[in-house]
Amino acid sequence: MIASNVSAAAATARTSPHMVVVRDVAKEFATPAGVRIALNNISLSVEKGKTATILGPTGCGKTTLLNLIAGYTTPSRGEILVDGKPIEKPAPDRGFMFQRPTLFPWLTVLQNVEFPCLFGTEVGSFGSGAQIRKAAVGYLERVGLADARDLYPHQISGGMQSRAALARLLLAQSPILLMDEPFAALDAQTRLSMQRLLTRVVGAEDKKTIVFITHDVEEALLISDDIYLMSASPGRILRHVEVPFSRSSEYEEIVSSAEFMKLKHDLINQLERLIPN
Amino acid sequence: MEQQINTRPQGYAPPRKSPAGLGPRLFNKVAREFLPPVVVVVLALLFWQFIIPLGVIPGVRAQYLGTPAGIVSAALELIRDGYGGYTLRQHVTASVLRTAIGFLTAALVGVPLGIFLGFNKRIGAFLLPIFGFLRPIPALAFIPIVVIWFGIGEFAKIFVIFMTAFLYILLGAVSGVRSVPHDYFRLSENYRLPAKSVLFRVVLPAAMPEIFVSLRTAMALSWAVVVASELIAAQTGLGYLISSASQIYAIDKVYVGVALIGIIGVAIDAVFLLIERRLLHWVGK
Repeated sequence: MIASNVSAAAATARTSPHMVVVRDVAKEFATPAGVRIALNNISLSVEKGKTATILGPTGCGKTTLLNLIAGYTTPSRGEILVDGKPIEKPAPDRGFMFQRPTLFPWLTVLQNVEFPCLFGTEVGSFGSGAQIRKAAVGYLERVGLADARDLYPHQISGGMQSRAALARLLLAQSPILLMDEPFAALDAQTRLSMQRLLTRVVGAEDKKTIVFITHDVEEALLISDDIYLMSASPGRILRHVEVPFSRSSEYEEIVSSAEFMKLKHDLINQLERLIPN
Repeated sequence: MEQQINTRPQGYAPPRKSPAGLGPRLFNKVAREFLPPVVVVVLALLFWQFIIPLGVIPGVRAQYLGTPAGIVSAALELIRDGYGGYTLRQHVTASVLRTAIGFLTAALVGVPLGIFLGFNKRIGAFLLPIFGFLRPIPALAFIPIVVIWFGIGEFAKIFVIFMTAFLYILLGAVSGVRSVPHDYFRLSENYRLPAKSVLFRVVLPAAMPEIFVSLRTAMALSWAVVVASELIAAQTGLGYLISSASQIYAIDKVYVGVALIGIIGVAIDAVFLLIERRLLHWVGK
């Protein structure tokens, strides 16, 4: 009976439409002052092709959670499944976008974009360097950097560097994208244009599953299908919001709707209560 | 003519491009910026050449000071006859060769070892404190030890240069590797870069600016150390030339030797700067 239950669970896991499943995960760190519980009892799942945002105040452990899904660290308890299989180490099936663009200053924009496909292991499904080049140029066009391909990172603006990092991420063809506040350091105008670019460019791709980290409520509402609100010390999930807007609608239309404003204020109020005075 | 001036927008003066306009301006610039220091230097040289030998300045012994004309004739004499049985070129070559061998060996050993120790924290923890202790000790303090160990031959001189350059380069490479941003490694892990690619395509270029600074410093130190080691026991080299010339009070030849050491040092550094600018074009931007 027990055995059949286990195999049934395994079967569900395998056929589940959920690309990313986080089940009862905890993460503890040993510190000189004792064990610190960074994350406790975290469970969430992201369907294939959906964007889930983890929203929370600074220090709530949302980056730790993303690092666990990426495989940079291992959970103290619980398990993380990707496409039904427990994850082990970082792998190209989960492309990571860092808080900073993390472009190599000694390479041009185009060389940076091509780098993972040229030198990584099983990144993308390109047959030759020429194919990589062609696809890289295509992505640079899509993110609006066609004219900057031969410039070095120090020669372009912070927003353009983020675009280049996005092109690199997409060229690697990871089915899952893990994005750690990638636009947080940008000014408001550039951040908005990056959010629109993300939904537009990623929307044109084949069913990307995204886990996105942010502390910006509006950003969460604009780009995601699901929002998980986290609280700090220990980090846990307080609330799951299914975002009711269609992202194909116009930006102005969404942000001016009563529903958007109500949800936004609601979430902002809840977030503010989470920040200790 | 007057009409033309009147039609110009107010406050606008077209740039003067005619050579006729450039001539006096260039002259003004030269007069303003280059003339004063030249005048000072020329006056000082005249004072040195004609006033000091008169012996009228109290406390100055003119015979130990030489004269500008004496220096010029000493330089010509050194170029023509050489010194101590060797031509001037042989002395320069001897110094440059010792520096080059000591420095290059140090770079070939120091850079790879530094990268390895920067990576391997455990082995680094054993060895780095030792190197850290040795580095601030002036190379000159090693010379007596090295002479006892290896005698006064070529090897002793090259070894002192090697030690000085090696310690600088090694610790520069260690700190270069440790300053590679953590996200570079995470990116490499994400796309499963083979270890060789991580080393040659990520770590090495990222650490290169700091490694290069240590190479340049090590080079300058090597050049200083070669002269010092030649002061003690040598029959060739610029260090030998100046120390030997000073013992026979050939002060003008000492000046020539010192100036030559300076000129070659500046030239070596210029070569390094040139390489740095071409190789590490992104640094400082």
